Amino acid sequence: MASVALSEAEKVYIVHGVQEDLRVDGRGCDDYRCVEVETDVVSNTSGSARVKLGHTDILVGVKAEMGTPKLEKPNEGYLEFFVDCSASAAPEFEGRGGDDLGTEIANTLYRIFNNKSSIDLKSLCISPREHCWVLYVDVLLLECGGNLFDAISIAVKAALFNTSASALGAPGTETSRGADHSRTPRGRTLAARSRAETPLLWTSACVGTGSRTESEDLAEARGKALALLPEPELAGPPLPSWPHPTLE
Amino acid sequence: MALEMRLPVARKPLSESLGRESKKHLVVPGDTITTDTGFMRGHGTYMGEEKLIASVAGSVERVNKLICVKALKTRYNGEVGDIVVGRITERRRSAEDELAMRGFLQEGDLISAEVQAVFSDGAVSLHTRSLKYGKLGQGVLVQVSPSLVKRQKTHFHDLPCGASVILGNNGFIWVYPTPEHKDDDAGGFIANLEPVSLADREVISRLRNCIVSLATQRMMLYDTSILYCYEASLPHQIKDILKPEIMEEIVMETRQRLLEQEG
Repeated sequence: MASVALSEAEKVYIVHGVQEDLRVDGRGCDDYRCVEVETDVVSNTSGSARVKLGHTDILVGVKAEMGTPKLEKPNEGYLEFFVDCSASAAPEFEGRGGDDLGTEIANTLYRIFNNKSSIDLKSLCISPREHCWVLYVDVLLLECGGNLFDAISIAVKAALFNTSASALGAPGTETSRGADHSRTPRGRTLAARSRAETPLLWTSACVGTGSRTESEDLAEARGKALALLPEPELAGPPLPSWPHPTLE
Repeated sequence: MALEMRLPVARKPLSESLGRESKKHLVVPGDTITTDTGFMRGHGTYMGEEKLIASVAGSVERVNKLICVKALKTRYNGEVGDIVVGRITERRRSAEDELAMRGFLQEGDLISAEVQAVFSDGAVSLHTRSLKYGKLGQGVLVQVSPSLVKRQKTHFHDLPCGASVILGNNGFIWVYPTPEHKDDDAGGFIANLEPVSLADREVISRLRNCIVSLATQRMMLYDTSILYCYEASLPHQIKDILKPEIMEEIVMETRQRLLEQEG
């Protein structure tokens, strides 16, 4: 995210605006920009989603593959996150410039999904100590327009929802390998659960004496963003009905 | 906390909804404009292989025997006499500079100035020799494409809705509260840091959103278009103006009014 130099007068104007609950584009301190969500956009993944929040554009793909459970958690599957800040998102991401930000975002995602109540990892287990589902979540930053954490968390949630039951071993699909993996009702359990319990991130920046959520670039340069991890029961605002994934 | 989520919708192109009969002749670099050699070449064209070829992406304009291509998106090219709004990014670090300028202008400050001269490599030299130019105080900056700012006699406008704008030819548009007294203008070097009233803020935010809507819909920006857009947006809440469907509605209404005014 580019840091924008502002004049003193502009900073004063913004700070006073936050105190009066009227930001530069007319939003209140708690208002979000319009979000566009689309699922099932990438055909060769198990689930995918694309989220547009103002000028921020995020693409997430989830691939479900068979793996061995980790030694310390033999009854659970797990998630792996990779965040790629594409060079077209911002000029400073050219070459290896986006790696630091990508690692930071990936670590945040690991932290929030490390929670037992975020996602039921036991449902990803196929046979203890031997086989489990591993969900590789790839996040691609197409355009950077501020408020990355929130947009990415919405996209990851939508993509996990979209990870359809067929990809996780519903009868008769070619993703099921080995003995007895074709019949697992757990795939469907995962989809149902991820809808309700996957957490969302809500970023708030401190500006002057007030605070504001959902800032564009200009203001993030001014304040420090705090990522708040909501309790699973209060996971984000009540969700609208998600678009139903089309199973082909 | 209001959070609105929606599904992406393909929007139909605006020209269809307007029912325009005369289609613009759009070209991309390399397109042949005409094979008739009787025309004079204007900006954005070159002669190659006995035909006139476009060198920029834009619409073809013909005035009698002169053909030129008006580019849709350009980098700003300075011309003498242009008004520009700019931000100081770097400054000369010398002893005289420290003594003279440091007190007045810092890195990050916004200024308005007039173009004095253009060098051959495209760099411009600016002057702020009148009190109406100088450091800008509190307000909002909107960046649009330079090709959308219409060339007019004056670029400083005090709009009747309660705020003022400076339409920089370089695409930087400055929206600020109208100063109380006529003598301390937007210029000078001492910035006024007193809080701006809520009513003024609302006008400024609304104007800012209107300018962004006009720029998104590729409308020319000048005082009349901005004012009409402001008036068309009054029934809506300020933050709703940036929603795609409301933006289209407002800009359509503005376009209608502008056409009526001309015709």
